[in-house]
Amino acid sequence: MKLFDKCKRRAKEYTIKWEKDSVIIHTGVTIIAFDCLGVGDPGGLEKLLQQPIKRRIKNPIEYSLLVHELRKSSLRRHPTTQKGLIRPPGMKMREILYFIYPKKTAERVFGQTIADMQEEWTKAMVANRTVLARWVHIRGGSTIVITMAVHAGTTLGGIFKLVK
Amino acid sequence: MSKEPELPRVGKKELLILDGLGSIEKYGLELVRESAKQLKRGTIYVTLQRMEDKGLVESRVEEKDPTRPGIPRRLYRVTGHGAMVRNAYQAAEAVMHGAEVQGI
Repeated sequence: MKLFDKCKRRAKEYTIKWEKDSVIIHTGVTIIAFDCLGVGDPGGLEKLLQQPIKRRIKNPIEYSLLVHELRKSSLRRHPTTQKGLIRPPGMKMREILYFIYPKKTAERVFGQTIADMQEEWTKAMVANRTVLARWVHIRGGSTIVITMAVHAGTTLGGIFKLVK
Repeated sequence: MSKEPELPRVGKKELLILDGLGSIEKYGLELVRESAKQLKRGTIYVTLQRMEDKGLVESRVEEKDPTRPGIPRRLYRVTGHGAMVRNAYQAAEAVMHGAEVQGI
C-alpha cells in the first residue's frame, strides 16, 4: 500500500512538456526524453507509448500509472501538428541486429548506420518533408542490408543461432 | 638485432578517411558526404571499426540532447598513430609522384 501511495504521489508530479520534435516527461526523480516524434499514425499511439518508458521505469505500478496519465492527458497530440506519436525508424531492427551480431559490431557498425538514418529522418520530419523521410527510411534499410552482406560470415552464423 | 619498424598496411579507403578526418572530430555520415561518393554508407562503419582496432582512429559517443529522439551517434578522430601513418603515406606518395614526373 505504501508503495502504491508513493507511486501515486509521484504520478501527480509528472509533467509532460512538448518540445519541437519530442516529449519530455519529468517524473520528479528522473527526466525521460520520450523517444518519439510528433508525426502521423495516430492509431498506433497505444503501442508506441510502451517501450521507451518501460525500459527506464522498473516499477510496474509506477509504469502503469505513467501510461494512465499519458492516456488521459490532453497532450496526446502534438500541439501544432495535432498528430499522434511515432518512434524513429530502426529501433526494432536494432534489437534484432543486437541478437545476431557481437555487441561491439552491433553497436559500432549497425547502431551507427541506424543512428544516421534516424538523424536524417528526424530532420526531414521536423521540416514536414514526409516523402524525403520515407526515402531516408528505405535508403537506411538498404544500407543495413549492404552492411549485412559485408558481414556475411557473421550474418549467417547469427541467423543460424536465431533459427536454432 | 632490432627489427626495422614496418609501415602498417592501410587501404585506399582508410587513407581517404584519415585525410577526411584531418585534425577534427567528424561523424561517419559527414565523411561519406564529403568524400564525393568515394566512401559508401554501407561500408564506412565497417572500415571505421577496423581502423579503430588498428589504433588509427578513436571515437566517442556524442553528448546526447535529451530532446532529440534516436540513438546517440559517434564522433571519430585520428589518433597520434593514425596521423603518423597518414603523414608517412603522404610523404611516400609525394616521392612516388616526383619520381614519376622525372621519369625515373
